Amino acid sequence: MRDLTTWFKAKIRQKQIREERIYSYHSSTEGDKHIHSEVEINKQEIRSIFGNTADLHTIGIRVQGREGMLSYLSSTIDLQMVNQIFMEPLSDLDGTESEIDNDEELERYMQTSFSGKKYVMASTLNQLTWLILSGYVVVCLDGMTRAVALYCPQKSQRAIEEPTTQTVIKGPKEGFTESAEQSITLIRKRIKNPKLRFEPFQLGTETHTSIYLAYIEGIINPAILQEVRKRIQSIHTNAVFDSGMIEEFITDKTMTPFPLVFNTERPDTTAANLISGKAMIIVDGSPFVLSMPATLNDFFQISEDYYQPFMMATFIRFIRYIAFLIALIMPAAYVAIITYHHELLPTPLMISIMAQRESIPFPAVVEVLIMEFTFEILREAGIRMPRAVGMTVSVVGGLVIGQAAVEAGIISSIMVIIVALTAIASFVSPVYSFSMAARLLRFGLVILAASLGLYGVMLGLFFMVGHLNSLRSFGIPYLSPMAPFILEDQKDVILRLPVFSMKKRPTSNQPADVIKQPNAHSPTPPQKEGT
Amino acid sequence: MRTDFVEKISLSQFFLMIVIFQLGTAIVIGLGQSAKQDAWISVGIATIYGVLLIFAYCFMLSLLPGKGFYELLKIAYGSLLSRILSYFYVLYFLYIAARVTRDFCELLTTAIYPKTPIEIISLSLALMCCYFLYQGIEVIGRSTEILFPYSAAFLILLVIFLFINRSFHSENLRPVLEFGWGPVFQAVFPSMLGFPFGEIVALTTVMVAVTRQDYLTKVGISAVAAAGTILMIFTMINVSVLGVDMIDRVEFPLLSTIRDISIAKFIERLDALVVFVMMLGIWLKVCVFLFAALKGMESITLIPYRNFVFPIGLLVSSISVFIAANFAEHIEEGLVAVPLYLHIPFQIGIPLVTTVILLIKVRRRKGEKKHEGLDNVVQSEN
Amino acid sequence: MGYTRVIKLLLLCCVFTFMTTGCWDRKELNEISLISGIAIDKGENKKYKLSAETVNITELSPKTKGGETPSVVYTQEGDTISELVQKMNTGLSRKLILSHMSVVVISEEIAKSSLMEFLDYMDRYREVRNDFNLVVAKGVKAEEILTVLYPFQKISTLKLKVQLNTLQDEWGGDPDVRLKDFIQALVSKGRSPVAVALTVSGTKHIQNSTDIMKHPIPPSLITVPGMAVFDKEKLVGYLPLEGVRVYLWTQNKLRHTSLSVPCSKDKYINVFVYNSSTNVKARGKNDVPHIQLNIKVETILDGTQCGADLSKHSSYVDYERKAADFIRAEVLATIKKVQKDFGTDIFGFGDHMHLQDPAYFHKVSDRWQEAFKKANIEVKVDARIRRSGLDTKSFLQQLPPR
Repeated sequence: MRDLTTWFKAKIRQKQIREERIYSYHSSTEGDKHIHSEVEINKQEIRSIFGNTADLHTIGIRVQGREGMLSYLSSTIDLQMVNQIFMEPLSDLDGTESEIDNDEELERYMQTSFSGKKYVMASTLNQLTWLILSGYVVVCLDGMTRAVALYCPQKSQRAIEEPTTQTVIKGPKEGFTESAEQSITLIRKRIKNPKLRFEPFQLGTETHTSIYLAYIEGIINPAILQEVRKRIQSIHTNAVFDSGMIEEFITDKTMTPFPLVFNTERPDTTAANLISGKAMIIVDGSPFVLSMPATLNDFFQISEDYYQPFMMATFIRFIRYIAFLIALIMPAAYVAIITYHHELLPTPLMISIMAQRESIPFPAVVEVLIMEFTFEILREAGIRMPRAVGMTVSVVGGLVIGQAAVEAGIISSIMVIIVALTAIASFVSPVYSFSMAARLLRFGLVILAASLGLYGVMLGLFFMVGHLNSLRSFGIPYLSPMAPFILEDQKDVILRLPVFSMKKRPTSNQPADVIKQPNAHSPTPPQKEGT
Repeated sequence: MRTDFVEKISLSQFFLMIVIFQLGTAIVIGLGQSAKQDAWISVGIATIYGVLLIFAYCFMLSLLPGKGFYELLKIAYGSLLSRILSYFYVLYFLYIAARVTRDFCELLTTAIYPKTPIEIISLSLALMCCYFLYQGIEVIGRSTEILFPYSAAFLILLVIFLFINRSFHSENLRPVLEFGWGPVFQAVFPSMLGFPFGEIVALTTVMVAVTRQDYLTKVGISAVAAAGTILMIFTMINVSVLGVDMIDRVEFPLLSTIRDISIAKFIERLDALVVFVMMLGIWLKVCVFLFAALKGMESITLIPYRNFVFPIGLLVSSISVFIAANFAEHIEEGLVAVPLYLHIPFQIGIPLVTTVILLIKVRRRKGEKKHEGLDNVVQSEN
Repeated sequence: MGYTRVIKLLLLCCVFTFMTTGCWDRKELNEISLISGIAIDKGENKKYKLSAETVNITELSPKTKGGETPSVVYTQEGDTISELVQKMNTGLSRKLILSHMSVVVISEEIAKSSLMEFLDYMDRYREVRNDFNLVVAKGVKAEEILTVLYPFQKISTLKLKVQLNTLQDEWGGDPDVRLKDFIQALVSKGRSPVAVALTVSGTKHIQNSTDIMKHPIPPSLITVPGMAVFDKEKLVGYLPLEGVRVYLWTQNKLRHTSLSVPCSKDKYINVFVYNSSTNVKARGKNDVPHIQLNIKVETILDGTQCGADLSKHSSYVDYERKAADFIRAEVLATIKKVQKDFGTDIFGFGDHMHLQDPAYFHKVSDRWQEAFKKANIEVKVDARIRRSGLDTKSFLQQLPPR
């Protein structure tokens, strides 16, 4: 046993060493040269850094008699904007006497002729490279040791559309797009508050993706904020393409099927989360915004709950919890009852199920597993296939396979009902990443049910509850308003009481400022006579 | 081993833990059958005893706030003697944990899984409890909170179903005190002293983890009273549904009570479900007893208890199989030997003596402090 | 951390071993066969003869039925019922489960020679539930009851269950005795058990054929002649169907029934009882038990042959009095008959005595049956007719004088 232990330790150490080596290579700062006063040399340098990529343009210009160079990546900048705001003032100067003799004058010149525009003065080649990459147009002039970079970013972004995964019937239809700036705009549009902060970070040693940490100062618990910051800063990765990649780096525990970080592509949900004292991470290039700390009940709520009458919202929320339970235990309970606890079924139901299963060649477990796997395959195929074909495959395929299997006598029709109900129930969860948990755990429970009956299912559920209770999201217990039980928060967990009754923020996030709307009161229409 | 934060349980969790802990096996096995239709009176008397007992335990712990049960032993008896006592307590708790496991295994094998080896059931139950113990008392407390509503809802539903089913025959509870107070007290002493109320002694190890120590006594007493009331109600229900003769005959009264339900030819045959609802109580009892035993080992060996969890869990599962050859032996042990030789000394005897010793020591220390108060001040200035 | 990792690995192995070697109590649905009812006769060589009716499940589903026999009955002899149930596979193909059994038929012979010990197995065995009907086969062998098919529920025992429940609900012809009640009555000092009696009417030779289901007038049918009366575990006689109704009245279990009350010579009024409640008072006076039954019934007048004017309150009062007298007479007659003929307290008056006059009951508890024979029975009936259907006056009143 000792050998095995040391083996594990050695393995981990090896991995660490390898990773350190990789990171040190990428974050090396060698070759941070200053900008040369000769434009031609700078040109050579830039060309060699970018290696003659097709979208690099280095154009020679003359400004007030000085030789100069305009350098940009055509893929990152808006050419029209360059022409409009950049070339005109520069060419205006042409022919007049030279005023720009040194770097100070250059800067002063920039201030006067490009006032209001975003520009940066760069002095090293590394800086220059970075500016070119992030959508700046760089101007180098002969004899100058600093270069001017003007911000002309390309605004080629998707139009704001309705979110695809978290849709509502009643409520705002805007969804985030891949552009972080647009996301920030959408959030700012909803929260006009100077306390709303967006802290920029850059991640990915190769991609240099910008991400933003959003929070509302004064509401968020400073300790949680600090923890989030710390975790973002300790990410060492080479590439970030989606917020999901960040999620795995900052989550408290990865050996769990439950998501410990909430994600949304709805600005209104984001705003609501911010106001309840959560931190959000916006990743450039991903329409999904992460929210933390997340508790289990977050995954059963959607912004629409607050836009409809509270009785309806409570009812629907209740349905969601039930649906989750169905998605989790329905197949397992079926297997357990069918193979172990016949006496639980009333006689007519028993006879009907027995008659259906009479000619089925498989044990009930195998039948369940076959159908569940088939369903998962169909679901995956439905998502991956080209959209035009996808729907057909998932719906028709399901129906045809189900129908044919029943008629061929391989699968009992009650099994098809069970699998269909389970599948539909697993779609009810408003957050896609959460339905995964039910989908994965379901298989475990089915196997437990097959080996120990309902006792096995109960064992599995106990383990699940224990596991859920051991989880924490940024220090907040995962089942937070339920365990530890917080009476005040119960207004908005399974129930959704009228908005005016919620005078405080949910305390499970431990916000710095608890009071939300102290003066809220129920509507007071004129009273009828005699009341 | 996580040492960076102290595990705490809230008052409400503590309350629920006591209630479920008391109901656990008692509600399944039934209490005071020998008092016939007056069993509920016996339960009521035993409840009063239970309230007194938890008051005494809380008093003992309040003498030196922040100290656990085993630390109190150490302070009271000194290093060597306390170590020996702790050893015996560890054995006692392990044995009771094994008994509880066995109760559940018997229930399962009798009612649902006649062919499954009892070892498998006890091992799986023990492993599950180990998992929770490994996660810590905090997780146990929270899980109690999460799972309680389900079993509470089920029990309430059960009563409603029995009511709809017209299963209650209140005449089964009459005549009250047919044979006087004799049988009633005979049912209480000594068997009902140790079980279920005396078993609170295991909870003394948990009490240290409760966040608000100032409410400990109040919450403890109300929880025991609540548990006693629920037990009383269910004893009455069992008798009124089954009748005295049948109560005398059956192994698991509540199970037989539930077999009586048949509503609209559809809501019936619920007994298998009930077994699994009872799992909550069994789980908590095993967890708490194991926790008490593990804490004892921690105090003896000074090694964090998480290192013992899995070996001890496996041990309990095997003890639970070995303690009795058959069900009758198991029950007889529980009714005859255990209350006299184990429950009374460990639940009443040792804690009582400890309390007295502690009281003396605390008094003396206070006295010394008054005397040496001046000296201390001088010393601290130096 | 390495240490815990290894432990986790070992645990995982444990769990997988469980799962792969588990399934001790697994029974796939297509490997089992439901027993829908059993019949217990006295064996010729051994103590018992057990007949079990197992269900041919494909025949009960409308999709798969094909005109075969819906049930298979197999008979075996042995000394214990438990062994016989496990041994049924000498003739049957699948594992049998008892949990959905709906009827247990006891033969007259068994009941008369007090061989009811097998009930211990029934009470103890976890698969046997408390929801089957315990019946006595009157005048026929118990196994014959299992073999009379019926076109609706197909299987005789399922039909019997529905039949008995409906009979009890609609007219009060089934004493509604379950295993638990039966045993309760057996062990109680103040009560003796009863069970519904069944018999086969019609030609018997055709029973075993599925053709029986093709006749509009069934050539053979299971009918309820009344109720078997036990003196503890020994069958002592039968009460007719009216006796069952009286039994239910005394037990406060009667739901609905219909009475034909004479109003004048050979003329009857028909009263439908829709609500009934009974209160039993028991007292010991001068060493003689006094039992008082207070019966309250609410009824609807379903028909009258006398033709009184039912728009008048006085005719209601008159009919109510007549109905009350009728009920009182019927109840008294049955109880007297039981006292005289059987001398066994099937009504549980002893239990009432135990509750209401424990001192007296303790004196006589050992010889309660004797005391019961001498018991003074008093019946008070409060019958109310609430309404009288769609007509007020009867058309009989409006007939032109002849």
